Amino acid sequence: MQASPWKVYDQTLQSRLFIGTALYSSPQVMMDAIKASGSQVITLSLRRQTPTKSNSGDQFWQLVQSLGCHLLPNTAGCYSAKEAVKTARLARELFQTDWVKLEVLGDSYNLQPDPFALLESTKILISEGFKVFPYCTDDLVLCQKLADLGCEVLMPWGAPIGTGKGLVNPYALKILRERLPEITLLVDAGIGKPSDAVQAMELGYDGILLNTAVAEALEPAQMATAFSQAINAGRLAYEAGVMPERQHAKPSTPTLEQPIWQQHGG
Amino acid sequence: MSSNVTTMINFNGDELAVENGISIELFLAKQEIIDGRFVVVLNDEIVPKSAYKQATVSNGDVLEIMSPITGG
Repeated sequence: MQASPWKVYDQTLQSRLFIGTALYSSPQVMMDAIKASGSQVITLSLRRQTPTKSNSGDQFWQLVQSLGCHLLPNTAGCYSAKEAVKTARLARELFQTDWVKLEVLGDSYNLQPDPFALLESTKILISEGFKVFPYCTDDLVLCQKLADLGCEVLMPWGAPIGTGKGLVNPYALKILRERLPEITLLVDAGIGKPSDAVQAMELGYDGILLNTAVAEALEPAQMATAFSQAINAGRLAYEAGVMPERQHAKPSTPTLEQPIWQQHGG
Repeated sequence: MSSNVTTMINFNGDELAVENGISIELFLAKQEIIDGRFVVVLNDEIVPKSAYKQATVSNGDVLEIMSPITGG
């Protein structure tokens, strides 16, 4: 059983997993993992690089095209609004999409987003017609301001990029879900295990963006399948309605007409 | 139209001698960058494909070729 389709800006998607194209041990491993994930959206980037016949610089692009996925270019490595805006414009020209995963980092040690530069660049890019997917922290006020600027999608971190620590602050993520019910929310970064993804999906998150957890698994394609199934399971559970937690036990087997000698305590 | 006078530009971070006034189209051909996915950036401005014939490089210009790479 598949969870319900969902909408991301102008696109309707079935898969709720966005997957990165980096860190795989070979192009073939990347392709196998992406196919196994069932993802319909892949992230990629751009750099100063000369594609010549001798260095097969275009091989990555040929592979990406063959996947037929939606492309979500990132602005990874940018530390100012100016750099991020410039990179987003180049990405739009290069990939022919107005989608951009907006990363503006404020700290090189934990790759934490700079909320101020993020807001500044979001405002500019939205005015230029971009569909912005901001990589942000789980701060409610920041997320509200990003939504106010016109972001229909927000991507708060679960934990710093590449740490695999899972959801460091599930309380903050839960509050975001409750307070921003109309916004499409994905957890981006920090996911290590399929159970982390399930946790986010059970909170009502719409999707997951990950890369390292699959790329650095011993068997990336198998891990991609595991994440795909976990994310679907988490979403199905959310849609089915999770039972309320109780402080005390409640028997599941009916107690009516039990023999006298089985009745204890009171 | 190039003048055959050599001049220095910065190409993808490296100094490179080119004919002064060479068109982007000719420059790309000489560098064997003929097809593939890339964007040309001249002095921080995107050069659209339709302008490759007209746009030229001259002394001190910064020319960059941006290509797709993997990303998370």
